[in-house]
Amino acid sequence: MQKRRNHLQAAALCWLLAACGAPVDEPVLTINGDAIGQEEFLARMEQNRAVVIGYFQREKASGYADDFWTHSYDGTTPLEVLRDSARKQLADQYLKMQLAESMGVIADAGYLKRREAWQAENERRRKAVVAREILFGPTVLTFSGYEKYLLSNLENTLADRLGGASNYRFRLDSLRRKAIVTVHLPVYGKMKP
Amino acid sequence: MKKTAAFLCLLALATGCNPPVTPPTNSTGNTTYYVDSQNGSDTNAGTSEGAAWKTFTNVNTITFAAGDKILLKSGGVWTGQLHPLGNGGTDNPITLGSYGTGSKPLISAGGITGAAVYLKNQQNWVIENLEITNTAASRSDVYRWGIQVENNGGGTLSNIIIRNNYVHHVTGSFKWVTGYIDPHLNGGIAVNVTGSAGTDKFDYVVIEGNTVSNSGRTGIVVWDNVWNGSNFASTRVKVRQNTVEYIDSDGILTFGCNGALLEYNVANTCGNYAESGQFNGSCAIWSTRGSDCISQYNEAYNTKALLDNVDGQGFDIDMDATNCIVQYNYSHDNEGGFILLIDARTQPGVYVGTSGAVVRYNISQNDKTRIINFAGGIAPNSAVYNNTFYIGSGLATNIIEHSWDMDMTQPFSFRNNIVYNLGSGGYQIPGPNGTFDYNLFYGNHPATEPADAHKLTSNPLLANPGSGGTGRSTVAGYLLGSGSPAAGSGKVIANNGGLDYFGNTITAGYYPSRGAHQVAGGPAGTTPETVTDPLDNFSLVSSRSTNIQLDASNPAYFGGDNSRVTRSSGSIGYITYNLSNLTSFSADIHEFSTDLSKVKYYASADGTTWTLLSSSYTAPVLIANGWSKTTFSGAVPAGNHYLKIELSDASSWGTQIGKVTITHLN
Repeated sequence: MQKRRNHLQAAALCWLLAACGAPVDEPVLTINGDAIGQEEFLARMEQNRAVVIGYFQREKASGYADDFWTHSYDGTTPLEVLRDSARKQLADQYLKMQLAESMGVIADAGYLKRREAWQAENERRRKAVVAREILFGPTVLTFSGYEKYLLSNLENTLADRLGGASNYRFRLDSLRRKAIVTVHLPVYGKMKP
Repeated sequence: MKKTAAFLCLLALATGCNPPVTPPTNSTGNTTYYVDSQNGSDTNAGTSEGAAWKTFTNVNTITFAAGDKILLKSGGVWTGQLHPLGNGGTDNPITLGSYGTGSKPLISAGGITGAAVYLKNQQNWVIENLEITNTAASRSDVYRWGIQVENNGGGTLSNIIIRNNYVHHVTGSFKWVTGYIDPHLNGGIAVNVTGSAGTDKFDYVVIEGNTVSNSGRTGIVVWDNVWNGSNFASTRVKVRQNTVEYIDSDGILTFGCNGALLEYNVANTCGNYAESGQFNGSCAIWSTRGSDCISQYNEAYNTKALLDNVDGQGFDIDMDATNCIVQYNYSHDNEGGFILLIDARTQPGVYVGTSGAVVRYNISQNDKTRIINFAGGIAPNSAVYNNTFYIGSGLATNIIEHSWDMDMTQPFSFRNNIVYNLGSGGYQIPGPNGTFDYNLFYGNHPATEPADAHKLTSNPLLANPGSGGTGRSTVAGYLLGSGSPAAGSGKVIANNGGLDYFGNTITAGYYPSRGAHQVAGGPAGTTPETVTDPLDNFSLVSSRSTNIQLDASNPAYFGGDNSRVTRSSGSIGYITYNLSNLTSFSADIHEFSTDLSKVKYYASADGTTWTLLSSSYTAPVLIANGWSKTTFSGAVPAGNHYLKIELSDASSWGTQIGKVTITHLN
């Protein structure tokens, strides 16, 4: 993953991240040297928000009070679980994208490029609705929906290139064992929904 | 008391607080109600953003009326079930939706039994712009939904619109459970007729723009339990522009609907779960029990076939489906294949069987196991035409399979398709009455590849086969390149829908292409064509009498011909051919008794009424052991599309047909 994109991500984050209190150019974590910025991390947390709420409702009878995210349930807070889920999922996604880049399947899968592509896709859909053209799937894609759509294609391509799904899974497991994931705690600790 | 009330009002005005209000039992209609999980209060009036309710308590007790809106604040979170009452008007529905900016309002039902959002015996509702979960620790025996609209004793209920919702992590049971009809009814979004009265139905249901993920058993279902009777089935059902992904079993399913339209949906990784000992059959997008249902412009991929899921296809025309169509879809990487066609009319509980299924102008890329599976026998008159099937190297996908065999004698057709087979799979042809004609088979040619009177095997010159990605618009690689032999070389097929996969018009009266991309050929019915049948089998014969058989004995008596048509008895026997616009024929006849008057030729326009043809023959030439060979020939008057060759020699073996050659205008 090309690290030069990080400063561009930082510039885009200023107004959005002021509430988190972290300097906007600092990444939340790095995966094999590739930085994951605060905006992307927050977007993943937002995506997982409902699942974490559901988990604590079910397992800890939490309800949803004002202090839900910071309330400790048997020594764990929902906020910690939310951050942890985002970390794990992004680490896995980046490993797949790094593999794809190393095999020449994708050229540039940086977060900013993906956001631009997502916004362009939704603009295309918006225009298609106005022009009464054919659309496939929802008229507006969430960023996570768009990412899942692209990632599924990526994984099919990787499996084909590596000679099958089991070869792909084996390679991915190997990458997971060797991955170097560095969490920048001062920033990580400030991420909240 | 009045002074106290006045003081309280003044205090309320001074402080900005809302005085407590008792909500009405019934709304008068055309009123907007606001619900704010953070800053609302259930003692508020609920009729303004500043005086919003907080929970669902009031929403679940009021009977709403036409034109009402119940709006949840964006970014808010609620637990429990939302079950508002009341009916909207035909042109003035009740809307359950959102207000404000930010994330969709989240209803986190917490694994409750039943639906997070539930309507029963209600009509004229819109449910939109909500995020809904209903997650339990396990699927077990509890039926759960994200959204369920149920009809049980409600008669005809109309105008149910469910749109732009995000429903996910709904833990519905996978099993048949006592007290419920069928596990297919539960899952993400369901509109279900559960009553036993055939008069219960839905008319006008639109489920569009939703995303349903990580849910089960089914992603989106419209189910009418008692459909088989006059006016019983649900009607005007549209399921469109939805994304269903990581669904336990079926992605999008209609049961008991007539004229349902499933279009522009994307189904990714359905069949994602299976339980040992349960019914694990799953497909991505399909219709069953009903007529005239259309699945079109969808993409289905990565469907799984776990445990004993013998299905796992992207698409399916299932039991009791009459005149249903699967067209313009993109199917790829599905573990169970492209499409399942089921008849099973002899099974208990099946009423009429499946018939008139049409599978046309689809693209299948790298589907696994088999492209087409005929199950439960052959649904009569199934027509598979103008599809492009690509099987990449390394795959062992069979192009055709059959399973769960029942009546295997029914006719079906496979025409104008391109089979681009770089894999190692073959064909398991179901029964003897399939018609394979005008297909292009390219790449590997297994021994089981069917005979085809107009087969092409040359390179179709596809732009970039195998290059399709995720997304219906990524298949430009399946366009026919310049000079493709598939262009304009197909057979004219009536009632073909008028469009190809890419939206190009199929001009009537002109030859279509083979495959899913239309490039028009010349005017139809004007090109002379010669068909030669060596009679090594009956693949080119349209019909024959029961006493017709092939004889391979003593080829030396027949000039080396090791397969001739003869009879098993002295009764009159015949073979017929069906080709458009016959012009002439010839037939090599081997005679032992040299009674050539016992060989007659007939023509027909419709295959029913026959006219005897004049013919002449060459002087018989003695070959060996008393056998002579002659060649008959004759002209066929215009307007005839059937040729019959009849043998009436008293000796069942004394007259044999070696080869037939027919010219016609294609």
